[in-house]
Formats: sequence, C-alpha cells, structure tokens
Amino acid sequence: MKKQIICAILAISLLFAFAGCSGKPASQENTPSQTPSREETTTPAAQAVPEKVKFSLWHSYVGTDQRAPFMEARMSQFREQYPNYEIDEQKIPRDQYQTKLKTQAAAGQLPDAFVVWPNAMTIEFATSNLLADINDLLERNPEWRDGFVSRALDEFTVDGKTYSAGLGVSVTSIVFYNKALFDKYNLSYPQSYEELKNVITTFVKNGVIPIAHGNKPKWPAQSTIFSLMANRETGSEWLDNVLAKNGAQFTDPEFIRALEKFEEITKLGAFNKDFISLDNVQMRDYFYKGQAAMMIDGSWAVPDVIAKAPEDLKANIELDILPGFEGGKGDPNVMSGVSATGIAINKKVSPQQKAAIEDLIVFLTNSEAQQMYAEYNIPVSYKNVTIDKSKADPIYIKLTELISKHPLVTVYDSALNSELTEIVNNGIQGIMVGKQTPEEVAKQLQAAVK
Amino acid sequence: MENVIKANGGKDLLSGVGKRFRKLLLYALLYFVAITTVYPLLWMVYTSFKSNQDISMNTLALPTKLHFENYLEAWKTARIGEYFFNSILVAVVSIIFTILVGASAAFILAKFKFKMQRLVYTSFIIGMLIPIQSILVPLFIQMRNFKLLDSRWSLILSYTAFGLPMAIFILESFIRDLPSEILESAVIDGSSVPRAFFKLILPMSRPALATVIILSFLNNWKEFSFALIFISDEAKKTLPLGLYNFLGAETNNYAGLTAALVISSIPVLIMYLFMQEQVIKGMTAGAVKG
Amino acid sequence: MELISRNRKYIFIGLFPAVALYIIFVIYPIVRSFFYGFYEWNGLGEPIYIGLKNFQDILKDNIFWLSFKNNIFVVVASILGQIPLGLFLAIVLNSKLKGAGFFRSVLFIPMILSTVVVGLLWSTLLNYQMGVVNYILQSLGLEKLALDWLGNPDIAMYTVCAVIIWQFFSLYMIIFLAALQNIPNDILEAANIDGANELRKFFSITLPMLWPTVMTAVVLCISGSMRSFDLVYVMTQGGPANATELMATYMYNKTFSVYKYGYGSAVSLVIFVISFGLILISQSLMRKKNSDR
Repeated sequence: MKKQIICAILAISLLFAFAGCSGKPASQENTPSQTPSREETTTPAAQAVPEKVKFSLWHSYVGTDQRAPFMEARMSQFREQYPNYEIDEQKIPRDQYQTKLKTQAAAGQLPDAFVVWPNAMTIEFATSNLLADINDLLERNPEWRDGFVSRALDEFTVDGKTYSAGLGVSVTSIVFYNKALFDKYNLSYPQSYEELKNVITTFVKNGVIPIAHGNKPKWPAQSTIFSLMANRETGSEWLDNVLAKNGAQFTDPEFIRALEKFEEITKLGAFNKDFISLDNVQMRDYFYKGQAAMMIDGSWAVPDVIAKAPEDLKANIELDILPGFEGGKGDPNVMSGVSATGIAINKKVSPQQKAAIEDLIVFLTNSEAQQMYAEYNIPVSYKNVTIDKSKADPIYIKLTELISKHPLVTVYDSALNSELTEIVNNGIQGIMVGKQTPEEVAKQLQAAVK
Repeated sequence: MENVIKANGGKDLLSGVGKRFRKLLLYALLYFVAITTVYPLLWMVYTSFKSNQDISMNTLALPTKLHFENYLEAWKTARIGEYFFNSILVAVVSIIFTILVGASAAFILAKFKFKMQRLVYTSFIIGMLIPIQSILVPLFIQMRNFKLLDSRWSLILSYTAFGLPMAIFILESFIRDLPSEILESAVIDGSSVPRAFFKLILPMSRPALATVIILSFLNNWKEFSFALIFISDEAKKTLPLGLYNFLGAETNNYAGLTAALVISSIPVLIMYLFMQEQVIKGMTAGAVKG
Repeated sequence: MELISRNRKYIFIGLFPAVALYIIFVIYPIVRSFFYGFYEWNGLGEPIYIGLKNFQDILKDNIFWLSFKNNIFVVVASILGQIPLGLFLAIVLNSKLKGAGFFRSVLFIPMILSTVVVGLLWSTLLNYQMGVVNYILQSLGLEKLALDWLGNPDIAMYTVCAVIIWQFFSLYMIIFLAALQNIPNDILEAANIDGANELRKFFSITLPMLWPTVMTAVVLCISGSMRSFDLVYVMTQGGPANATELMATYMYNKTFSVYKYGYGSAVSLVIFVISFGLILISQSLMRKKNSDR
C-alpha cells in the first residue's frame, strides 16, 4: 500500500512538472481538485495532462448481491469517464467481506476505499479514526447533496462529520401478500393489530401459513418484523431516549408490550413451523409455492421475487406495511428502513486519491446512477427519481409507491451498537422458541445500555 | 449377531447359519450407510441441472428439464477457469512438501530415541487445538512481514505447516510398527540413514503415505479462510473463493453453486479413487513383513 | 533402535524442516493471538491492556458455559461414534468381502462434499415440515418420532452431532485401513487355525496392534471436535437460541461480528487450554490400558 502511494505521488509530481512546462493555465486549474462539481455526465474537461491516480476499492457488490449488475455496469462507465484513474477493484461476497476487511483492519492495512455499513459500523470505524470525512465534498456539491433523502447521509454521520452516502435505501419491513389467498378466505388486508390476529387465526385454521419466515440467522425477525412492531408501540423518540439514558428504559411497559405482542403472534402460529431452521431466503419458497399468505422481508428481496415468483403468483402480489397498533404511541404510517451501504475513504489516503474516491462516491450516487438503480430494481436514495413505468417491473413500481407513501424510521440493528444488537437478536429468537420471556429480554437489554 | 457364537471358543455348531445371517446383516448395514453417503452426491449432481426456480419449488425433486447452461454460468461466475489452476498448483506443491517434511520428521520420531522426543511430538498437537479464525490476524501480519501476501507461497507454506500434525501422527504410528530389524540390518550393511529412509521406509509406508496424500489434498482443496485473507490478486485465487459468489444475504444461487461444486469435486474424487487403491495395494507390494 | 549413537545428526536434519516451518507459521501466530486475549480491542483502534478481565467475563457468561457443555458433548459423541464406526468399517472393508472396493469409495463421499452442501442438504432432509426423514417416518406410521430435528432446542444438539459423525467417520475409516495393512496375515491365520472366532481375534490381536493408531485417532478427534465450526454454522448458526452454540462459533461471533477482538482471542486461549487438557487426560488413560507399549 505504502509503495503504491509513493509511486502515485512521484508520478503525479512528474506530471505536475510536465503540466508546468506546457504552460497551459487551464490544466493547472484542473489538476489539484479533480472533482467535477456537476452531476451530469458530460465529457469532463480532460484538457491537459490528467494525473494518474491509483487507488484500491473493496466492495461486496458481486455474485448474488442485488447491486452486482449495477456496479459492474457503472464501474465500466466510471473507468471510461476517468481513464486516468487506475482502480484495483476487489469484489468480495458479502459474508466474507466482513472477515477479510476486519482482518486487514486489525493488521492496520485497510484499502483506500471500501464499503461500509451505515450506523454501527461507521461509528466504530470513525471513532477509531480510520475514515476521512466528506463534509467538504458535500459543501462543494449542494445539488448532489440535496438530492438525497436525509437518511442516506445521516446514517453515515458521526459527530457532525459525514463519511459516505448510501447507494440506495433498504426498507426492511415490507409485507408481501398474496391477494388471491386473502380473497379466497374473504379476508382483507388487516388495518389493526386485532385484525392481524384474526387474519392469522383464519389462515391457520385453513392450513395456510400466515407469514413465511426464516430466523436461523437471528436478524430477520428483529429487522423485518420486530423493529416496526416496537415502533408501533413506543414511537420513535422513545428509543433515542433509552440510548441516551434520558428517562426511558427497555424495561418500560411499551417495549415489553411490543415483545409480548410478538410472542403472541408467534404462539398463534403465524409462522411456518420450521422457521428456526430456514434463513430469510429459503423461507420465500413457501410464499412462491402459494403455501404462505404473506411474507415479511426487506426491499432486497424484490429482485429475488421478480426472478423466482411464478407468473400467476406475481399478478396477485401486493405490498403493504404492518397495520397500526391500537393504543400504541407510534405513527401507524411509518415503516422501518435504513440506508444502503456506501463507499468510505481511508483516512490515510493522499489528497489526490481522496479526490478520486470522492469522484467515485458522487458517480455512484448521482441522479444518473439513481436512474440506473431503478433499472436494476434497487430502491433509490434520492428524493425525486422519475421511474419509467412502462419499463419497470410492476413489483418495483409498487415498492417505490410504498416508499413515497411511508416515511422511514430506524431499524434496531442500526440504532443499537453491536453488543445490544446481539442481545436483542438472541432475545427475540429465544422468545420465538419459548426459551425466554419478554421481561427477561428487556432486562438483559437494559443492563447492557452504557 | 453374538448370540450365535458359543462362549467357549471352540468351533460353533451353528457356524453355517450364523455366518450367513451375520453376512446379511452386514451388507444391510453397509448398504444403508452407503445410501446416506451416496444420496448427497447424487443430489448435488442432479440439482445442478435444475433452474433456481425449480429448486425453490421443490428442493429434492429430479429435474424435469436439464439446464446445461448452469455449468457455463457457473464456470464464469466462479471463475473456475482461472482459479482451478491455482488450486491444483497449491494443493500439489503443498502435498509434496508435507510428505517430504512430515515423513522425515515422523521417521525420526518413530525410530530414534532422544531426550526431547515427547516435547516435539506434543508440540505438534498444539497447532490443532485452536480454531483457525483466531490466528487469521497474526498470520496475516506474518505473511505481510515476509512479503508473501498475494503469492501462492503464502498458501503453500501455511497449508504445509498446518498439515504437518496430522501427517506426522499418521506416519509416525505407522512407521513405528515397521520392524526395526530391517532398518538396522540395512544400516549395518553400510547404507546411510537417509538412503534407508528413501529406499526402505518410504516404500514400506505406502498405505500411510497414500492416506496422508488423500487427506492433505482434501484439506488443501477445500481450504478457504487462508485463501480469503492472503490472496487479493484475481490471478492467484483458489476455487473455494469463487464458490461464495453464489451465496449471499439477499438470495442464493443454488443452481450455480451445485454446478460449480460438481466441477470442483471431480479432482478430489479422482485423487481419492486412485490413492485408495494405493492404500490397499500396499499390502501386496511387499509392504508387510513376511 | 540402536541407530542412535552414530546417527544423531540425522535427528536434527530430519526434524529441522518440520519444526522450523511449524514454529514460524503455526506456533508463533498462535502465541501472538493469545496476547490479544489480555487486551480490550475492537480490532480497529488501539488495544487497551486489561489483564484478566476478559477471562473473568468469559467465566461469567452463561452462553459460554452452554457452548462449553455442547462442545464436550460433541467430543464425547464423536469419539464414541466416529472412531468405533470407522474402525468397524475399516476391518470389514479390509477383507476380501465382495464389493469392498465399491463401499470404500462410496463411504468416503461425506469427506469430499463441501460443508455448504452437507449443511444445506441435511437441513432440508431433516426439515420439520417438508423433510424426507419425517416423511418416511410418518408413512411408516411413526409420527411420534417425526420430531423437529433442528428446530427444537432440546434435541438440536443431538441432531447436529449425528450429522458431524456422518461427515467424519470415513476419515477414521481410512486411517485404520492404512494401519491394518501393517498387521501380518500369518498371525491372523494362525489364530484361525487355533479356533479363535472373529471377536476374539479382534480383541486379542487386532485391537492391541492398532492401539497406537486408536490413540492417534482420539487426538485427532478431540482436536477436530473442539474446533467444530463449519457444519454448525451452516446448519443452525448456533441456534435455536444458542442451543447448538459451540465454543468456536461463540468465539467467531465475538471476534468478527461484535467487534470484541480481545475477548474473542481470550476465548481461543480457553479453547486451547481445555483441548490440551482433554488430550493429556485421554492420552494418559489410553496409555494405562496398553501396558506392553
């Protein structure tokens, strides 16, 4: 890594020397900052000698990742537009990405640019002083910056400094339901908790799985279902108060009520009996086969649904969110979601590399890129993206409508640090298999709040 | 079975019937176990010809239509073309080193008496006692210091080193059972110890050597963690790294995965079938003392 | 054994490559990793020395003790399951039984398959609702036995152990197959003439001669079981509700998921100490049994 930086600096200094000799004032103006402060992709002013900048980029948008085809297409466009950038691109499948990155981090050898997850991971890396912030980039590009939904930037911001921008957003709690099955048993989509229970019991009586679910990895129940249920009971500020130790605690009745309601629907038989042995991908099979009336998953499931659901089922798939809970303090109109991952910059890079990576960050998230998200069925992170309804898949269109109707609130594994996240994930799984009570889980959580 | 054997060691009268019954039971057991071991392999093969949609609908059913394109797609996605060569190279070189280094150490430990013997033997156990993930970081730093990162040598050296305990244990206990007289008479007749090692001990240890080769090849071929951490250069990656391209948090591509696995299982199967013969043949190739 | 005096130098030459390689690439990193156990470190910033605190926390953590209990269970089940089964099959398939070659090949398949395939397939076969195993049991009228093999916290561990035994028994089978080649045929034939039946031959001749190999197998088995990770991770991820948590999955979780690298390293040190202890115990027990060694 050090060697490459030195080579890059030497090369750049030589080019500076050349630029100086050629006597073109325009080039000298262009070379230092390197960032085109425009979003449109008109050909850049590659007048004089563009400096060669090398940097390494690690990302997980490969293989079965939702963003893999987008990334491949966009990166070749990037390379075309900036031929002077030499990018050592490492594509690592998501599960292995964390292992490899953290090993290199522990050895003090992070790549120049790498994907980070919002919230917990960004906080850990930022407070350990490993990231360079992009506040000045945001200052210089107000149009680009203002296009984002606030979440896409806020969740990468620590103590006023922003470190990345999300390549889209992820809604974590979408209820995909099979309208035909609802019609068959004269049910309409539930609008309250009582109605939800009624729907569940009716389906159970008729041998239909009410909600397909898979919680082997422990996070799906918390992320796709419970986070929103808790919000319905407690409202959004409550969690902030708990974490800030500002008068609220996990042992408050609202939160315990949320856990109890979750326990209740589990006991009513809401989920397929083997939910504990399936992950959130395998559970979708029940829905595709028409054996489950609903499935609750995140927006990342949309490409999979589009690819694997049988055509006759697709015509009947509707998207909605959890109903409001009567007596709950939460806004019934919100749904849980989080920013997608984004590219962060290693604090140790040279100014030229930082500029180059900032170009990349902009390029991957500007309005043109957002258009491409739509083409690849990725939920966008910009406020206003016009989607070509004639070309987009109907399910993706339903997704975007859902997003426009319902504001996002935070997911628990984003708001909590990794230790609390582990406790809540384990606790929810424990409740689902009857090994823990809501009170116990609440107590464990509160005990770990620092 | 045992109730047809008479207790006092003489020839049992029911030996005829007892024997047939026992044989039948034995075959039943063998076939039962064999079914449980063959089915997964068959499943892997026939699933590789289904589409992901088919697999979603019914994980266990036979394919109705053969999707040969899975193999082309798997070849590309798992980058089998590039990674295959690396895997073979690393595995083969590691085995050669493991055998040479391990067999000589095993020989010394088995046939020589010296003070630190117990200690040396025991210290080889140490490396097998902690999970691999614990040493990823220190080993990574080590490889970086030796400037071996992104080189096949990092894999070869670590696979050899970590494969030594098993190789040494298996070879040591085998060589210890070889009769010392043959070795001593060779030395008395003027042969040097190394010569005796290469000309006598190694050939006589063929069954154990074949076993070590099989197990080392298997471990090296499937090894993943070190390859993930040490190698970033596409040109040097090994097969297991490509396989994870089919699995993700958002979706799984079992069709591609099984196709890639079928392809990558072939060398192992061939290696096993060949070596397995060597294990048994060793018996007749003059390995055992007469 | 009288090769000693003149040939001492070969001891050094023969051992040096192995020992050197091993110390550099195995011992040294392991020792370094233990050091982290005495620090509080998230793997990113600066490590902070905290002495024995990690170890105190480990001893206080219920989940650790649960994983310890599960691991011991795996070790015992593996020793009692894999080794006898491997030994039995090796003896049977070493003979001129018809089809021995076929069985030797076929029974080795579990070792060849990738853990992902094994984990995925067995999870599917053992699925409570749709699995083949339960389907067969139900058609045989044995519905009471059609349990939630991987989802019931009370039996999940047994199920996982069974799959682990299935995956590894052939490892011991081939080790014993090799060792059996060393037993001279004439001794066995002499015993036949004397009228000894199979069992007596086994206990009086075969087993004593194989005992060193059995000891080796036990060492491999203990160390392998204490490190069990892949299969459990794929099949249950340590669930449901930590019912199948093993020390290695517990350690992995703390190291790579929860940013508690120092704590994870402390867990590794604990795993090491326990494994080493178990091996020493087993070795001394087995050596006592074998008086003529």
